[in-house]
Amino acid sequence: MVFNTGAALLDAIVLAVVSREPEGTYGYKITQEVRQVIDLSESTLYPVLRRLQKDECLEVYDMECSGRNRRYYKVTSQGWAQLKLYESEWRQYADKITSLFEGGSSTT
Amino acid sequence: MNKEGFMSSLEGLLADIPTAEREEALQYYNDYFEDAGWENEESVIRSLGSPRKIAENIKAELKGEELPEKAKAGDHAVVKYGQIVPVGEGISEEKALGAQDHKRENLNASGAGQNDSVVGEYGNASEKYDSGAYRSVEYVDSAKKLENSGQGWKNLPVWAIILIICLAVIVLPGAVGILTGIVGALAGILAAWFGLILCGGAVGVGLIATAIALSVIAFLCLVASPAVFALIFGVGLLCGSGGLIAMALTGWLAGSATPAIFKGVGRFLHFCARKIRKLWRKYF
Repeated sequence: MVFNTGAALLDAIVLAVVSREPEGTYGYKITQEVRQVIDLSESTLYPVLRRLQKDECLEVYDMECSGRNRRYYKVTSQGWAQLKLYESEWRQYADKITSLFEGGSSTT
Repeated sequence: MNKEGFMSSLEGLLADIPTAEREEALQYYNDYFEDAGWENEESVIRSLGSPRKIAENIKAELKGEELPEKAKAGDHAVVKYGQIVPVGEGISEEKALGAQDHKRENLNASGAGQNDSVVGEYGNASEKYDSGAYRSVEYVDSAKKLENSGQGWKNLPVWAIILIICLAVIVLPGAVGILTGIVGALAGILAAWFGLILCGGAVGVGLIATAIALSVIAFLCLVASPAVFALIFGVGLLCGSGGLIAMALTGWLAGSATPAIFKGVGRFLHFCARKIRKLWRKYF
């Protein structure tokens, strides 16, 4: 992976991954899924989750699972709004860069 | 290293953050190991990297949250729910506006050129973004960057530095006078104290000498007149005891009281210094 993933983009990616599970998902699973998309150091993810939690984009709840408590993360309504924002930001950003790359070779 | 070693290492490294945060983090990574499965313990440790890195990231993120309250030079804009909240100066909005058509700022774009001071909710050092160098994702030694930007003299705006210099020049003559006065007063007090001690010693010695002399005279008169002897000897004894008391007092003053006073003053100054240092760190 050639391009850096900035902090905001990282937030967006994690938020998007968690949003795929409306009932919420847990740390290890989130990490695995994020790593399918970008090459992320596993030591990076926890601070991102913490931050999203503090920004009230994610909420946590514990669920009993095979004898131990597992902490689940779930997107809040604010989180959905923020995700929409990230999505539109990304679309505009990506479109601009795409047109820049393509514009160079066309005669428009 | 195994899981226990890893976790206890991490716990130690996180000793200086609030308990609740530390417990949460440790719980998270414990769960992580469990979810990965015991058979994957080694590969998890390898991919997590070092406990030190993890602790750094956690602390960096914690610190990053404090900054939005204190707007300082080179601070950031936060994108939140469609609003720009520009914080502090240094990152010009023009830069941000110029970069894109609409009034949005992406931290990454703003990062260009502002190396160690783009810090914020995202707690990331931006220097890795703007160079265009292709590096893999690294969530960075943002802890170090944060330390620098939070507490560096160099990040004061130029006008502030000039202002401080002018104030210093204006205040200096008066300050010198006042300082001299204070030093003089302190010296005087010190001199008086030691003079007192010296005096006490002298008085003690003198009285004892008198006592001895009187005793001698008294004994000389013993033969001539017992009454006179008694009188003179009595006075001599009084002088002697007075002298001994004086010597004892002087000894105590010099030996115990003086060091105790110095210690007390020292402790007080130490306390003041610590308070000043705390304030200093808070605002710089």
